[in-house]
Amino acid sequence: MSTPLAMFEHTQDISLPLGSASSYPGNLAVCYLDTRNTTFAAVTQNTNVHVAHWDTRSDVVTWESFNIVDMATEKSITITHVGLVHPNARSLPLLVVGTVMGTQVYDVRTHRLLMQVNLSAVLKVTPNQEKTILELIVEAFHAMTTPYLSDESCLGTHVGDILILMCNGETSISTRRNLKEHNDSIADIATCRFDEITCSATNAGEIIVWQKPVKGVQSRIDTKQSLSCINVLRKQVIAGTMRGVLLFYSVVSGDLMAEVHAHARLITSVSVAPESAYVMSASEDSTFKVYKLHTRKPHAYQVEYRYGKRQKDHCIVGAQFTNGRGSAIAISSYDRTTLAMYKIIKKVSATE
Amino acid sequence: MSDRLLPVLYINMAGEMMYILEQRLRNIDDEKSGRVLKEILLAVLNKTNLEEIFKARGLPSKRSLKMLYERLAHSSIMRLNENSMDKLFDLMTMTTKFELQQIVMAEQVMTVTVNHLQGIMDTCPNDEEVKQLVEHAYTMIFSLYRNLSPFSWHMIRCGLLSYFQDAHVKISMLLRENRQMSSGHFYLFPDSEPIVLPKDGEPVGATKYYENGTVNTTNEIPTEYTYMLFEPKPDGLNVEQRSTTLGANMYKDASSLKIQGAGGTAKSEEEREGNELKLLESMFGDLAPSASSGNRAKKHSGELDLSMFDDAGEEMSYVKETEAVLGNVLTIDATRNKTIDTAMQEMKLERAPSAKKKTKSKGADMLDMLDEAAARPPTAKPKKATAPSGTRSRATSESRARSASKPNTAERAPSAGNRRKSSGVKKE
Repeated sequence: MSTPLAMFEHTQDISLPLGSASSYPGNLAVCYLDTRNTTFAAVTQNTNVHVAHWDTRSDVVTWESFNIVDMATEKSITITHVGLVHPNARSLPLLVVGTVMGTQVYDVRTHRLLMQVNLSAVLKVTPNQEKTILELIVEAFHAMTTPYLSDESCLGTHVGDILILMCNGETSISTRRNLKEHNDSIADIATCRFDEITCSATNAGEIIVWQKPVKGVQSRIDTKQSLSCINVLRKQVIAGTMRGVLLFYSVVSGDLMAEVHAHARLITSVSVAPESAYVMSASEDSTFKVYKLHTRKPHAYQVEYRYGKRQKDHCIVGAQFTNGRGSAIAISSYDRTTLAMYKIIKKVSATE
Repeated sequence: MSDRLLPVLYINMAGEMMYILEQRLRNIDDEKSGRVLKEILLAVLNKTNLEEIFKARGLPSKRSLKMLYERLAHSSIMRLNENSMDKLFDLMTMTTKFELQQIVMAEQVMTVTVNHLQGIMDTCPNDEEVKQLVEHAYTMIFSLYRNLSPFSWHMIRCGLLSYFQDAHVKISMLLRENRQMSSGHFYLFPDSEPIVLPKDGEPVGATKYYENGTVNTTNEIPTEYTYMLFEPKPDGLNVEQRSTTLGANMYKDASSLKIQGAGGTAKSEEEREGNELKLLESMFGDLAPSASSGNRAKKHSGELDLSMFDDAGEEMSYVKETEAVLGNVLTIDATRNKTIDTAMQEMKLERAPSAKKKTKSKGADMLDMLDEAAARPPTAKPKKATAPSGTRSRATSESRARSASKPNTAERAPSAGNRRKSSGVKKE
């Protein structure tokens, strides 16, 4: 067992403009625009979303806040998930907010609400099923994906339906028919922008690899584990479980390739850096870990541990690479008022 | 899922309330304190009350929840003034939050709840009536929650944690035992203790590579802690041991329930709009200050004044620190579609306009009742005074300068204003 390598260093803590980060999974979303050297990060805080953006060449961070209000009742709503998606049809990302009522889509620059979808409207339920709606409304929208290349955005719901939002232009968004292939709550949905692979996972352990464009099922993987989050990298689905295990499945064969007993608590986030093949897992056990995934011959298949850090007594809920190279990291924790930022300090050779 | 939040929250916080009251009543003669505890317990686990709690949707605001527990606490001859009730609620909030953060996995919310039920039963030992009510509550909890998946439990835990977000009242006992930091956050994984792994969890560190479904090679990665395997135990009532002791009475040997610095968790929250009083109404009937409850500020013979404070000095500093913190918090709207003018106006609003507005709202009754509580005299023992409990005169403790006459909402204490907690921006 080797000692942790000093690969990243803690550079700064960025204060949220108000309050602290929320406890719901997926309280941190990141979207980077390499062509503009700009990174966006969204953090949920109760009924507000705070969106930060910064130039990757400087450390100056600008915050903007969105108070999420139900348009019909004008009441603030509890947010259960946040996503930043960047469809081709747009120059800047969209802020997609999952709430206990449904979803709202905002323009990050103008703060304009572009669309509101109420769950009770899109999940067709007959009047005598009223109770079901109320149950699912609250747990809805745990998950959403950030497909960079397509103009679609997928949102997972409590009942297993996946809602599809289509972006047809700068301000035009529409819904498509729900995907109804899952029967349990969606734990997470993820897309790999290089290989154009989209996968979704339920908390009961089923992973679906979707055809492209996302319409029909290409294959199903039964992990037999309670999953909490997934991501896709180098044709592998990487799934985090409620028990702290990181599972690597081949998208092509559906086989389990590797499992890392990484954490002592639920894994709250799996983030990937496509350019460097880094994988990061973060957990409520206050730690986050970075690995390099080797899938290409002649190197043997390997999940190489690169870095581990304990954010002492932080219940980490969100952890994301803030660029495609995986050289910078943002960490958000429940009840904490800052985002912890890390940067790479040296390149570690793969054979170390 | 929010359908399922209130029952666990209610039982767990009620358990904490019973523990705290039991601690405070220890110095009072057995017969009287036993009667008080039993009367409150009968109200807490009353079958109709429980049914209303199980039927309710979503979580009430902390103000309403505090009022709910105030009603329950006052179902006996015991009386708490507003400061004591505030402190009681702070203690209940922080210990419940502590337990929710410490559990190994979300399913243990159930274990903590059963521990509380057991603890409630133990506050009135050998009482058949109490035993039956606890068993009834256990059956209700068990039938609602038994089929939940780990993920559903996780969502319940997230919902409860989000309710307790930003509550950082410092409990002296937890600070002393190195369970809480001076920032109000809790120590989650003390260096001296191994981490208990979740159920079915394997020790952290192994990386296994599979080929054709079987483990081919195994590697080790560095780890941060030492680990301990989880021992599964049933979550039944009257069993010898459950998988965690969180939720059991942690004040058993405590001599004092001090809070360091400010409290006021119920008041720091933004007031929620909506039909907040529905739940309270369905549990306690008409909420309008009736002849019996309206005069509660006036002391009836046989009532027992109980204080959460050791002396008047402690009560004074609690009130002062809390008001200083709450008074500094400005209402800042997070939306940017507000002009600077409106923001400026909001800053100048302070308390009076919001109080006026409330007199017309549905919350008026509730706030009136909170004022009644405020009008109750302080009950802490004055320093160095040795007046026997229950017979102390009102004149001896004037830490809260308030008249006992019918309160006027426009004169409500500063702490009752409509505020939203804001970090970073303080009023100069």
